Amino acid sequence: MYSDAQISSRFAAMIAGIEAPVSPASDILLRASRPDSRPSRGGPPVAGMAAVAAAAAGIVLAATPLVAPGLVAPLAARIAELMQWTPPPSPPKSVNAAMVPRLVSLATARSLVTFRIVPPTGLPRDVVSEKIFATPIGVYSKITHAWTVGPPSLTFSYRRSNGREFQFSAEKYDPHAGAPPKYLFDADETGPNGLPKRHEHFAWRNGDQSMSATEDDDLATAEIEAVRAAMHGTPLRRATSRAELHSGVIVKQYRIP
Amino acid sequence: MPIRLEGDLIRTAQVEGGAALERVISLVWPEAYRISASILRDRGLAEDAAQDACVAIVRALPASHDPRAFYGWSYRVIVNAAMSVARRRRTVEPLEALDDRRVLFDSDDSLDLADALSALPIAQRCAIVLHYYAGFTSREIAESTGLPRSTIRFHLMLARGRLRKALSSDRNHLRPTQKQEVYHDVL
Repeated sequence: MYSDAQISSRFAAMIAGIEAPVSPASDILLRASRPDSRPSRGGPPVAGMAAVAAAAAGIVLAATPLVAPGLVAPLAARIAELMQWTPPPSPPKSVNAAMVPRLVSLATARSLVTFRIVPPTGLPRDVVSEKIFATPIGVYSKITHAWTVGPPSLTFSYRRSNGREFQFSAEKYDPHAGAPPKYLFDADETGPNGLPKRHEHFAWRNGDQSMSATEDDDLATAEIEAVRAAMHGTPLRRATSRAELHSGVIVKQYRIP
Repeated sequence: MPIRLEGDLIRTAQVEGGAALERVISLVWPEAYRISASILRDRGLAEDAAQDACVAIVRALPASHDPRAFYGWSYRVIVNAAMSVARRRRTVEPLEALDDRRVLFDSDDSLDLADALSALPIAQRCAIVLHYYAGFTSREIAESTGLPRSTIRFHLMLARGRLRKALSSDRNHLRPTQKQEVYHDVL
């Protein structure tokens, strides 16, 4: 029979043995300075989302054509300022013009990409339709300081029976892109403090394919986890420090259909 | 390692903020994460809870009149943050979390204790951690969690019995298998 002292001793050993990640002190101070900083679990329809990976600061900048660039840019700049990150210059018109979503079949998608496509499986039961879009990615090199048009990313877009939509994105796994962010910031939905709300972001690998999804009102965390599990995807470790977030040598810009 | 703050750090942080505040966070964060991880058994949720706790501590620090009370107060904040995260996200423990246990807990003894702890409802886990790790009495736990003292004593009695039984029995007595889904009750 264990005594109270023995149980206390084992608790002390157990808790001391847990390795803590690096303290996100600047994130904590930032949140503490805002009136309501509880992580948001709600969000707008994905189609209206201008997701700016501010915490990622340099990993992903995503904008939808439904949102005027002028709206996204100040928010992105503000987030970048808060995160002490210098964003890359805006892509030239030629790159922007190339980033046009194209509705494709799965067979066509396979002919457009160089990775083996593993489509999402284990989807919510109320999915009534699926569309696939191929959209070239804008890629900024931190080494050459130049924008180029990258290979297309694929967007698997699903409509639910209630009319809401959600999306999964797939692209070739790229070790140079750095660790994916844990949160995306929604520039379409700001809190009373004027800052974009954040949504948890998930990414996983199947072979040379990297797939990602972001939780919001239309796609719950459990549903994303169910898809990843059904695909037998290997979760990508998400960045836990600013240094890790900035470690990539390229910055990608996506256009969500 | 329980939270230990040097000298006048609290006062300095209250008055000057800045580097002293960052120092407070750097000392509180590892403990907040470890305690949250032991209660929640999920690294992502533990990070969320630890961050929530640190934010609450930073916000309330300027109004704290008695720096000597920081120790007990900070543990209350940390455990309450873990409970809040568990309530916000009442989920089935993902199967991969079972594989992650080895990452969180560094020895079989710790793993056995963690398994025994995880078999308890969240409220009992929090009470047990505050009692056996932070050294809180049932009265202090009741004040921290807002639950009646009699409820806390009952939780502690049940939890103590279950822990002793689990720790005294076979090593794998309470260890979930890969095929099980472990439901965590929230009080």
